[in-house]
Amino acid sequence: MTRKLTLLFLIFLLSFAPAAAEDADVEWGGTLVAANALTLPHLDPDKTTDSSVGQIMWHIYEGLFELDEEYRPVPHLAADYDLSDDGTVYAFELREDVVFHNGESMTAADVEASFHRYLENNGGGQTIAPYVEEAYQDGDYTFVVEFSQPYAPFLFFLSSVVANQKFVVRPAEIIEEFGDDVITEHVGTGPFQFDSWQPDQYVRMTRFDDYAAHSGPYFGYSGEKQAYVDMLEFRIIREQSVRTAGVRSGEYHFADQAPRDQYSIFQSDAGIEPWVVSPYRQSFLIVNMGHEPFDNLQVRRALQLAIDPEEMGLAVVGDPDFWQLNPSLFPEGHLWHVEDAGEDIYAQPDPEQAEALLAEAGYDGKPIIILNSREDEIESRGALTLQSQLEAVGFNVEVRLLDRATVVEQRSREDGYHLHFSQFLSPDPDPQVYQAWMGTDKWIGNWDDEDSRKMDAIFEEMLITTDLEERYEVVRNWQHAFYDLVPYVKLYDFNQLRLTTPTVQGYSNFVHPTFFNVWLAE
Amino acid sequence: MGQYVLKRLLAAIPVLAVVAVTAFFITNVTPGDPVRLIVGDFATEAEVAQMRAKLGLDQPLPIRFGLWLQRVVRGDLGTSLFLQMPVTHALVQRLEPTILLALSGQFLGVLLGIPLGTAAAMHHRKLIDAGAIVASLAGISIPSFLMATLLVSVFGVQMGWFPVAGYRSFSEVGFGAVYYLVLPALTLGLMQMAILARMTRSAVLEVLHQDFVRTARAKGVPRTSVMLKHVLRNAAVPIVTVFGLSFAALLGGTWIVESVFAIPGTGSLAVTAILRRDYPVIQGTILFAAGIYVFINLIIDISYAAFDPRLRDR
Repeated sequence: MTRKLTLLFLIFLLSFAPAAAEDADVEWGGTLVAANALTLPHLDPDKTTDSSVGQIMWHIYEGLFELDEEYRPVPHLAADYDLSDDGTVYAFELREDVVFHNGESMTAADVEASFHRYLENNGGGQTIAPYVEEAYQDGDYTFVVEFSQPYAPFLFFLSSVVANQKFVVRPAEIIEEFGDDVITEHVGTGPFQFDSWQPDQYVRMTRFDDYAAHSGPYFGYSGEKQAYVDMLEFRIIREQSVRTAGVRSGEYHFADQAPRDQYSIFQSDAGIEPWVVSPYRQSFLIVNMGHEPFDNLQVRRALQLAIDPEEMGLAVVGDPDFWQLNPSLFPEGHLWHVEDAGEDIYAQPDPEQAEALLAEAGYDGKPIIILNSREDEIESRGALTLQSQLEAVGFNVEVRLLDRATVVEQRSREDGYHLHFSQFLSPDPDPQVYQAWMGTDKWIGNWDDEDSRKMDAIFEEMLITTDLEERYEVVRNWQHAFYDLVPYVKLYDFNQLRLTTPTVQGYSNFVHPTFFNVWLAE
Repeated sequence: MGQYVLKRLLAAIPVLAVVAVTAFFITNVTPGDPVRLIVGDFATEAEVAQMRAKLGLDQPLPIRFGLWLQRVVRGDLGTSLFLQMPVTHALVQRLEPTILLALSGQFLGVLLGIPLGTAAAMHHRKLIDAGAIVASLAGISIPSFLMATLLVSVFGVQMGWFPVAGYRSFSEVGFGAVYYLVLPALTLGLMQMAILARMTRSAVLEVLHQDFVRTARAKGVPRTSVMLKHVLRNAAVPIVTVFGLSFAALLGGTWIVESVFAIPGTGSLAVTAILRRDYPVIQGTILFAAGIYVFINLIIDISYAAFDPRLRDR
């Protein structure tokens, strides 16, 4: 009997062993200084399309849903949810242990107030709003959203990591106080609470001791998060060389957007830990289909065949550690990754066929304007590489590299450009966001013909297909149609380089720099 | 004297008016659209139009100019399109670092430049003179971003004596703020030193050969006394002119150093505003810089009278 009890006791102890070992490594306290190249107009992520605001403030604010490692929405401030059989009514059960930084418990009244402000002010919310019939609390811990039709991307928008899409919960009284104005009093539910902001200098946050952690596996913003450091300071340092020098001298623990061309130097430096962030972004060539010659599908196909994304990746990004070919519009491992997208087309340049197609389409040699920002090296180098590839098949090309404000103005004009490089976040939460970018008269494509309406029809189907497996088939069709109709040309996926000092422990390499479960080993 | 100051103040009005008109029109006719930057990449045309109307940018240019001028006359420079705060507030917020940086840069410049220039003149065509010329040429020729990077890598990264970048205000950390100012001030100071040393050298050289200096020496006045009371005082007018103008240039031109050292001053405010076409801030910072020039010129003119009694009665 005693032996059995001893054995049981040992098994009991062993069952705690991994957690205990993990906890033993952790060191609490200290100030983590992260150097970032940010331009923060204010700190309300619902009121700006600048992604840097979200990156910082989502340490303080949390979503009803967050994304797991497959980029699938999982409940976070919600405990669970129920979707009606017709796919129009979502009933969210809320966690009852969530406490705001002002000490008050989160209830459905707070979620309801935050949700109405989200629909009015946030870009994602405004996209959803036309489909929402009603949103209301049903008791203290149930929140209900009724749609006028099935709306498949709903949870993906709520948990999005793209700027100006995610839904976060704030206390109802804060919503009442600020209404549609920019919120300047920051009360959230996250592991960090707001401390101070000095414009163009720093944003500081401290550990929230009463944080009620989720118990799920940690990834990005979801699951079990903890603030181990006493203070987290985002220092705003726009000069890349200064961020790097700061990590070298130990003044900063983290630097965002480090120079990729110095990767091998960082690897051999014992005082620096380099992190290659992948998936990060994908590079696209946006095509103006509003007028000649790219209103002609044959010319767009010639364009696709003229481009060699591999040569472009080497010329523009360089080190193969920082870019990869990927035909799908989502990275490998992502829920919406389509393995066979662009089969037989993607990254298979054929200049001879391109030349033949161009001649057949009757291209008259009018100059093609590539319009891009000169400040962004991915865009400016890309434009110059593309120029040589296109000229090789007979396009007459003019490159215009201007400052961003002028580019944004010129590309909004129908005759302002022909081709334009753009970068999209690789792990976008939902393919539906592309509806705003490619389709009839969407974004700057000026696309309006039978083909654009084919694309619209696919997005409409995607919108109402709530079953994930069925929706995957629609997404697959869409990615195939992307290669058939060539509204854009997918180039390559590229990565970012971040640096930490060796004292930074527990850092995980997410698309945004996040400092949950990170401690300083001093 | 009072009348002289008043005259100079009145003369400043047309200068500022010309600057205001030029700043407004150049800013507003430059290509680039702040509205599209504010609403983001994927806003609809209706959203763009709504934002344009909200910011008053849908009005014809002359009307916008009239409205802006009315406010400027009352001391209101408008509201930033991006920062969501009045331009005067944004300027005041960023004035402390710029002024401290310019003052400390100028202080170092004077501390090193005037003795160096004087020594060079006193030892004309000797080793000290050659050394001073080389030092001042280097100070003028090395671009400030290069100097800043060199100082950061030596004193910030290698030695670890000073922070590589950043700023802390006096209200926040007291005299600890100096620690953050040393490297940027040195970057500016070396440049100022070069300018002041060159001007001091030539001004002193010119005065050194005047009759009254020879007479003073012949009378047996000690060398230091001759230098301080006769030479430097008479050489002061051109030195003060360069001192004042270079200080004004510092206040308006610290932006490279502010960018490299991540100092949130008026220079970085202006650069960010230009990049995103924040019209009220661009116009406000230009007017502010022009105001500084006018004010410092006034101070220089008044100081001439202090150094040269002949100018007092004019």
